[in-house]
Amino acid sequence: MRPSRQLLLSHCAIVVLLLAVFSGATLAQDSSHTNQPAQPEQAAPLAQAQLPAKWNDAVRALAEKIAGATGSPRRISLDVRNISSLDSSATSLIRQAIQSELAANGFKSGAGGLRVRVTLSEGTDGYIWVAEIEQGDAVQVAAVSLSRSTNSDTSLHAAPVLQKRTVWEQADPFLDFLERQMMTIPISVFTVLERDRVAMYEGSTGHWGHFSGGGFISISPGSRDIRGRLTAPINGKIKMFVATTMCANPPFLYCVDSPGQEWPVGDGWESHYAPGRNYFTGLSAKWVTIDGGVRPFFTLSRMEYDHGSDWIQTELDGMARLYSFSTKPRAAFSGWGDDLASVKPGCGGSWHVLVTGTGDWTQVDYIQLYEINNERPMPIGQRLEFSGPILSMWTSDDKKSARVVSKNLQTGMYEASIVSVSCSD
Amino acid sequence: MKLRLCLFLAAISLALATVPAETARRPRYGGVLRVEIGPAVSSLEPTTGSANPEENAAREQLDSLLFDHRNPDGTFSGVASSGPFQIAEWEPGKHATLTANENALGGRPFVDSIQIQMGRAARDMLLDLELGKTDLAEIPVEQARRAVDRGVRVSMSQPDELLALVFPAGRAITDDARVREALAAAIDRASIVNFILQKNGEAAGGLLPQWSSGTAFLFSTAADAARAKELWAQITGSPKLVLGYDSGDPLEQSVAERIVVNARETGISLMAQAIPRAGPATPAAFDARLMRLRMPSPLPRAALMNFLETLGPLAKIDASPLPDPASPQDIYDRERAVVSSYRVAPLVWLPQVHGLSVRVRNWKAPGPGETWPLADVWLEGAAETSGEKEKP
Repeated sequence: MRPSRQLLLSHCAIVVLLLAVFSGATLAQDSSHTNQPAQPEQAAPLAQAQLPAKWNDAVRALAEKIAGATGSPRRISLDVRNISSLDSSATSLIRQAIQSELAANGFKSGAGGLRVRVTLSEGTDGYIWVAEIEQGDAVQVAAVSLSRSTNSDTSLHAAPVLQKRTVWEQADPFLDFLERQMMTIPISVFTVLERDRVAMYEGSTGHWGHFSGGGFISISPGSRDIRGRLTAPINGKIKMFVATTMCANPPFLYCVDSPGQEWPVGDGWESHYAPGRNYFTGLSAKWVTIDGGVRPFFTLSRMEYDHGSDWIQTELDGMARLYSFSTKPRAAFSGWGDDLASVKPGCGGSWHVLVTGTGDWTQVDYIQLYEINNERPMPIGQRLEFSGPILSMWTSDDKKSARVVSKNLQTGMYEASIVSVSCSD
Repeated sequence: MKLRLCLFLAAISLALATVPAETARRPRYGGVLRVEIGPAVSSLEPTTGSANPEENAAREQLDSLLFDHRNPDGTFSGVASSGPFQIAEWEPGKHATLTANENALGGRPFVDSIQIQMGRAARDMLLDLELGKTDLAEIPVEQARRAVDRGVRVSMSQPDELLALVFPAGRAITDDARVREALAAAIDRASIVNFILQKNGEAAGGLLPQWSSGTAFLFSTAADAARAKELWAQITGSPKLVLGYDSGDPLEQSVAERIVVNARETGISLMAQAIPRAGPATPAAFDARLMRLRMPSPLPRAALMNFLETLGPLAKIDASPLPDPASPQDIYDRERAVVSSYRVAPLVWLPQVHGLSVRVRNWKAPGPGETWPLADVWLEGAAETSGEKEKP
């Protein structure tokens, strides 16, 4: 039976009509403290100049404090230890940088000199580097601090490999994101969809800084695990789905709220968002007939073949089920998380499924790549680990990657990543 | 780095050590969460104060479920049932049933309702956790190890409560800094952590934990019996000291008795004495007392200022505001000044310990200033119907 499609606006109430591109000042001011593009912080080897700029500033400040405490340049015995989450290579770089900076201030290092112990520590506010300067029986303490930031996390494993590129991080939760090149002007725009607002930033990957517009989305009280999705622009227009609310932009942000709001869940396939919940009910597909009603599901991933389409959906009982144009499942898989995304890497030609791990929001997560072979999921390659739970995962428009929103439990930041399948051996 | 990452992962996974095989990640709706608490809360009015600090803390937990507005002092208020839950049944001091608020600002909670039993003894709560009769209950930190040994799933927060020895100002004996330093140096913090807390805590040398300030490692936590003896030998008259502790706090009693032993080993004459919770206020009859100080915020400046405001009037220490923002140097310098005055001797950091049933999911141990995240908790196996039940 083909579920009947509802006309989009027939039962909708227009709940919000907000000007979309209000000048960036207000929101930009609000955003400036919490939003920032993720920038690689992993230090490159061997030179202070290769440390991130703010690390260099901290090194310089600490060296100045040491110099101030000792009074005049002299021989010092420097000991650097790390009790923070920095890795050994970063520690080594920082040690070298401090030595260089002290040398520039006229200090010579060597045994028997004034003992200076630098501890690389961290607290709630970020990294704290502490120098203990021993002068006779007295110990002077000097400290500098610097905020944490995401390290470069592009990772490569054995073939076929999952690659993660973190493109954004912010302190506030968000539901989805989209990178896109503007058609009419030579700029790129990064769109972040939050629970109650959308924000757009101009720039380029890794350097999204200038707020260019956005607006607020008014939604009915609903789920604490609210779902949201951005769709690829059609004629320059982005659609945004947040629970039972659908918004579109530009020329201005307008939103409609409907209890039976349809969401896109695959090319030409749509489903209804369950009001006040975090899952979908029903399925409608253009051009095809789906026999019977489908079970409620969290995520649906579709794989198109010459002979038709298969899809896998993660259901409320914790099982993932494989279907082929029938509500009678062909296979059921256990031990999967609730988010999945189908991708078709350019090299292999076959569909693969990215599947998140099990657990809950207090735990680290991962993505495992699967190939469905004779109705059996075959894990491929190694897991791609995340530092916290994956909160959403949607197939990108190119079908070669997925947009992933996760929470980093170490930093507390919400991160946007593009996960793709690499075909290099 | 790998070691630290492993420790980090181990820490956040501690609460989930005995969770059954996991089958999902997105929250499921439905079910009744059963909670037991020790205090008998007599009123939910946010302005109602009690002499019992545990009851006040419990009422704040309940208020956080019912009201959406949090005041600057940390209390909750607002229109009744503006929070994630609404009261369905209320029997003061005994029982409460809260139901999910469909129109809650942050979204409907995942569980349908919460049943709260109040006035439960610690041993009864532990037994109910073992028998699967409750889903959530507080466990005294000194009993955490025992609970784990008995198969209870335990959640432990970062250590965020300081147990400290405080010397009230105005006592002739302890106005001599050598007396205070001698007693502080005599205390074997490691034995308190290892034997009384069963290693579920950390020795404290400063007023803030390492995870918050990043500078706690600069404060020594080691006992120095030789220094204690040396200082005590300088005191004339062999004074007898009285150490006060909260009469309703078994942990404080155990720690006080341990300190008495440490003191006697160094020749210091010290006697532990319970301080009644209720009753008329009388002039302090003790030279030092144990105090628990819970961090109201994970941020070092806010936590330290709160501690100083609490301790300042009692111990006459500098409670003047720190610069805002305060640098790590500012915070360290103030901590050092307080500790070096020996008016306050930090002893141990205590975590918050909760026992959970295996079906509780999304439980995150509350951090400083946070309340129980019951609106985000969901129950494994209690989900709403998911449609057809047959499997292929």
